[in-house]
Amino acid sequence: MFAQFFFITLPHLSRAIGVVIMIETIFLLTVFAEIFVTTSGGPGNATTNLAFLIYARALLQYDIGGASAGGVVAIILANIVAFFLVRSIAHRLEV
Amino acid sequence: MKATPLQRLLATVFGWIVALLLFFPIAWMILTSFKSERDAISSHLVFDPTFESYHEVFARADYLTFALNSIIVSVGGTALALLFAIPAAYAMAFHPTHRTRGTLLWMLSTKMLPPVCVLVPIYLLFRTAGLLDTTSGLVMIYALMNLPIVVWMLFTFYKEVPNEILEAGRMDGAKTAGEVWFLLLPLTLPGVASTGLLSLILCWNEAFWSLNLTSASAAPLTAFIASFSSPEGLFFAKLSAASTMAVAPILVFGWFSQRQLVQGLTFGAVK
Repeated sequence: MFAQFFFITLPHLSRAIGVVIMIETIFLLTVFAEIFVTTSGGPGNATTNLAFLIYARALLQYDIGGASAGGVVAIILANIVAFFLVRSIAHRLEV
Repeated sequence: MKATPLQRLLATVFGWIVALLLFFPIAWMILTSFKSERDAISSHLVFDPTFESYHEVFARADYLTFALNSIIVSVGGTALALLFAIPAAYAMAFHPTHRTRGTLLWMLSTKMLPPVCVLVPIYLLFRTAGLLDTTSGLVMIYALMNLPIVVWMLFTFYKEVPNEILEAGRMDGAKTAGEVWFLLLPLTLPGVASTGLLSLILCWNEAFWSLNLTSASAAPLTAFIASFSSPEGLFFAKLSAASTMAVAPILVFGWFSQRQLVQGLTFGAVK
């Protein structure tokens, strides 16, 4: 039973697992509301992620340029993952 | 290969453990909402249930206004997304060209853009257009945000309708609009319904745009939760009470529509 799961089921799921990992990576890269409600990026900068940093720059410090630069960095980071994700989805898409 | 009773038992136990683990944060939130503020931060498990935090939440904020805003933007966003997605998915499913595949993937790729990247441009656009803190602005954002998912789901549902049925309709003199309205929609109604339900739930739970683009008059329930997180320290009981009240409607809604939702998701999109 365990051998069946590890050597047959799991290998067949590998592509699906890969897609899930990539989607979650992209979504978790920009967690915002949880941080906003609980810690507001603090104490100090301990829980500030990229999304919260951009928000704080743009709407709290009115540093539009800095926030835009942060946005570009976030796009680049997400695109690295998204590139592989789109490729693996495009493989299976039949139109 | 048949599973022995022991293996079945193990699988059941494992399944329950996973389910309880997933449910634990929600259960803890509901429990905390019935605690007093002092019990909420203490490590004791025993507490006197009290409605104190609910009373305070109701006294401090107008729950119904927030809830009404949530309903308006969720339903509005879903309706607007469906309005655009149904013709788009129809065109791509039944009249594909060599660019359809690329278009679909491009639409999906916009979903991979972190929303925070476009925060600055969207905020400035909204400010110039006077859409900040209006429900119509949120409806537009939600519709655009869900459009890729809605188009993709509808596309997979439409793909399963044989082209011959539409051809037969055309032979009987149906125009394109009639084709969609009288043939395609009734045939794929379960799919359209589950797409709408999913979009509704996504709109309801969306927090990033609602927190950033609204402040008072158009603020939905996510902003209601956020208003109870204060900078001078968290009041967990009140925060939990507010969160419980915010998720309760969609939880009940999801409970009633889960059969439809699961059916739609497993039959069409995720294959």
